[in-house]
Amino acid sequence: MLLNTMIVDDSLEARKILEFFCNKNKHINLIAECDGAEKGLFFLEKESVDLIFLDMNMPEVSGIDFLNRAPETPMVVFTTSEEKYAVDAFEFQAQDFLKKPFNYPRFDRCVRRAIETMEKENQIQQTLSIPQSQSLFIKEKGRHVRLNITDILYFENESDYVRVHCKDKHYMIYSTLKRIVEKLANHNFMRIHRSFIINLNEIVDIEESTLVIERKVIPIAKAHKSALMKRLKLL
Amino acid sequence: MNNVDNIGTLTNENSFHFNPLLDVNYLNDYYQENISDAAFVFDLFLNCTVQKFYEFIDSMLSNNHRKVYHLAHQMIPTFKLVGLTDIALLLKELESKARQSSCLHSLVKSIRTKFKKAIPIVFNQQAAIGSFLRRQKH
Repeated sequence: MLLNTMIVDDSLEARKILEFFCNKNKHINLIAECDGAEKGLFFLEKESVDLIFLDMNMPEVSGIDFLNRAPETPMVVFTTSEEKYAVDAFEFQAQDFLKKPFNYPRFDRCVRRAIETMEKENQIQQTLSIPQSQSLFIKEKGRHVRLNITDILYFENESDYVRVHCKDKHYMIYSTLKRIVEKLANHNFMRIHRSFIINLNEIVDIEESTLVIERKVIPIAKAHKSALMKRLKLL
Repeated sequence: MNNVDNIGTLTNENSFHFNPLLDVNYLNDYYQENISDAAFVFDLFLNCTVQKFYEFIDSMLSNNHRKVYHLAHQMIPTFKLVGLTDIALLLKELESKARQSSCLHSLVKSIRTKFKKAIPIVFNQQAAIGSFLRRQKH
């Protein structure tokens, strides 16, 4: 498996060392080196990237700013010489955290883990939809509510919560889209954006970078577009 | 650091030994016998970081503390990777002081003195790494 990889770091030496490591590694296809977050964001809009090595401490626009502004992020590895960013790595669900200076064996372990993550995600997305149970329970405001899966239109991320949009109602639950997509692995749901998981059966219309469910226009992240198109052909 | 004329780098056919005037423990732990990685990094230091160091001195002279902090932050990893961990520590100290715009001159003077003595050692080390790798090829 080959990972399309981008480096974002304002330090020339850091970029050169990472480039050297990437060229040594058979799983990495290095497609961009950006000397700042703005260039990284620009490139992310245009190209499909699987993995980003992102420096956290950059002037002007920091690594955190980059993540907040990116429309959708693939796997991100935080690179920094400061341990204080470890908490941010956890909050942003970073793929890994590399403390500078890191050597090639450490880099290689990071890449292997990224490959495992990618393979797991591909497996989930390619699984045929075999219904095991047509309902699920959510906990809202202290009570357990049973929902028919077929009534769920989409899930929307709202900070620490997720809003569950159903045909006649919506609910607010304390969860993450990552957890939800894992639970719905065998159903026709798919994450198409950092903030949305949709019910594939409810798509009314698809445009270049958006789709419509009921009357809601939902963005499709570039990183998910081709997987979505492949998945729809299976239906 | 001692007089550079007395520096020798002990090598044998099968393994490479770093110059003991550098932080050998750090270098052995980091490179783990990947001497070609060391060759790359030593080249990088001499071609990029040295230039950055002079820029750092210029920033200090023009009292641009923000740039001083930023350049110090960038240089710390590569100084470590060529075994100059003592200078890296001083740069780290300077990095934290530069943020508060404290008096940096004596610290910079110390860094500069150490750097001046260290550069010939790093050059020699780079040459020794290159010779070792060429012998390995033949």
